Amino acid sequence: MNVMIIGGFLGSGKTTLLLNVVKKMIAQSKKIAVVENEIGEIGIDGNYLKKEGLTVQELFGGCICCTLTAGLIETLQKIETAYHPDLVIIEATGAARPGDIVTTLHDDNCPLRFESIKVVTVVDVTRYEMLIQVMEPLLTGQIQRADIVAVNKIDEASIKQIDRIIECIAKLNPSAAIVAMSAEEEVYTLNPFMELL
Amino acid sequence: MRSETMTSKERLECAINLEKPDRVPIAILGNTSAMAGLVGEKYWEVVKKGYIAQFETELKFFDTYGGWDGVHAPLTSEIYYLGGLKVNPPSEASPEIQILEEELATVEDYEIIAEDGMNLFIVEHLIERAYGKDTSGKYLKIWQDTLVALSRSLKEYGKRGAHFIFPVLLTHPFFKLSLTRSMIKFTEDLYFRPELVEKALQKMTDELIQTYSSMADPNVYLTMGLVEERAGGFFYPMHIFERFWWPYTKQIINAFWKKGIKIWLHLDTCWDKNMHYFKDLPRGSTIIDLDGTTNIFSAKEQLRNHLAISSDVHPALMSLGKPQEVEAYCKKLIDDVGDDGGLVLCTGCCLPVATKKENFEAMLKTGKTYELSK
Ligand SMILES: Nc1nc2c(ncn2[C@@H]2O[C@H](COP(=O)(O)OP(=O)(O)OP(=O)(O)O)[C@@H](O)[C@H]2O)c(=O)[nH]1
Ligand SMILES: [Mg+2]
Repeated sequence: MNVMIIGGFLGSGKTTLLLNVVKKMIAQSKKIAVVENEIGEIGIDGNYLKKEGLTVQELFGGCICCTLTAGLIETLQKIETAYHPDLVIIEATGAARPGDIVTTLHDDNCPLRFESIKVVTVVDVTRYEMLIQVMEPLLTGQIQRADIVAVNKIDEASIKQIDRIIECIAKLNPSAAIVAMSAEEEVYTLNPFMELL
Repeated sequence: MRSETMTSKERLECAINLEKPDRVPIAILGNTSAMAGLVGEKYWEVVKKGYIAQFETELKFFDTYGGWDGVHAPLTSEIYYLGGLKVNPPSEASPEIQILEEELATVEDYEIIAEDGMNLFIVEHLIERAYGKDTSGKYLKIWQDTLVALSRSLKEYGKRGAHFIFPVLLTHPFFKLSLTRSMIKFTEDLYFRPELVEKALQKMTDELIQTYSSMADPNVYLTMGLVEERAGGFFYPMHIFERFWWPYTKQIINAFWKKGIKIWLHLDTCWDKNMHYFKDLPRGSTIIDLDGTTNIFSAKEQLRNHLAISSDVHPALMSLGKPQEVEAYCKKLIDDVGDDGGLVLCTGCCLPVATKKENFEAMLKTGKTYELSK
């Protein structure tokens, strides 16, 4: 099974990015399943996705620690048996660290085997400098285990601000690829995301 | 094999007071949804029958597995309703109780909460925003049912020799504001309008102490529950913790402590960075309840002979592990965290819906027999 985890703080643009990646994958005739784990209302238009032939599973559970283990693995097992997708995209809740999901999936007790698990962390460039002051541990934790950090909402920021933030992120995670983008206005290249897979 | 020499209450009290009981006390925390699954009931069907039916399910769960020491009042969807929190109605596809977090309170509401308190705010605004106008007297009915269920569960669990670890699981003011404003908005408020947040936090702290410390009777309950899922070092840096959480927490714990009640402090996510603060609390005043993500062994070394710990047979182990692993982990907890007492063997966070029956049985069996067989 191939998995892409899209993480990043609440409202950073995870669902918007996910939709764009999915569209592109479908255009390449790939079979995709999506797992949505949000603490609020599901941010995705399920009907739209289903019309596109997509499988969407909602992942619920009291709190993060409970949801991220059994619930997730059970959901992935169901998806694997029923659909054999080429790729499963998991949208993590904005309150979780995507790296913890990787740990769960690599646990000895996880009955599934994965060909690849990749992490994309979305950062809201307009809120980053405020959030890093009040919520540094979570933000840092989300960035540190990412393969790609997507610096999103550049349509609302100055070049200077974007550069500053990219510099900070590069220090936090020197091995990640950093992509500046506007998921909303579809201003970016999806190539790094596709190459990741 | 030695036999038991203490009642559940004595055993819990002994562990909480940092002494060594006849064997480790066992407490189980969980939403009714998980308990229903473990007795073969479909929670989404039980829910339709109301609060009392859910309480019956919990009792059946207790009896089916032969009981344990520490129990609590049912944590059902109705409890979240009373708190003005929106929850997803449990269904076959998602049997767990799921809070749907929305921005139910606005920035302007901080002043109202600071003036009137959270209790009134819930009744006058929050429930309506989450569920629409209550035209059928639903709110009153749920209150009545919870009171009936509480007194019945006291009686029924009492007959079975079990003891209440808490009659009510109070939500920490910080967590409550985060839930009602939504995590993202609340986090912004901490940055942009900290004084407003502080005003509301102080009012809610005073209110919580006033409302519940008079209700708590140390002859009936040893402890009162307090839950915080978001203030720990997993999310927030220490300057936020020190300003918006720790002072209010100390006020609450000290106020109950003066009345002879200890706080069962349910802490979700990783609190490693915060653990040393708890050494400042009065000895024996608090039970630190961890969810499996905090390093419990390091917590023990820091809090040894100062505060009891309850935990942490965690959700991953309960749902994905094997019974031998559960047994081995419980033994490790008993040997390393409970060596000098001060341990309540408890679920980490709470029982997950996907708990395997044989794992749950392994936890109970190890807790009940391991030390006595030594
Ligand atoms: N200006 C701007 N807004 C964006 C961009 N991407 C997303 N948004 C907006 O940001 C908001 C949140 O986007 P989502 O994609 O729902 O974010 P999310 O991370 O999935 O949010 P949660 O799942 O609630 O944590 C929405 O109002 C989007 O329209 C962007 O590139 N530029
Ligand atoms: Mg989303």
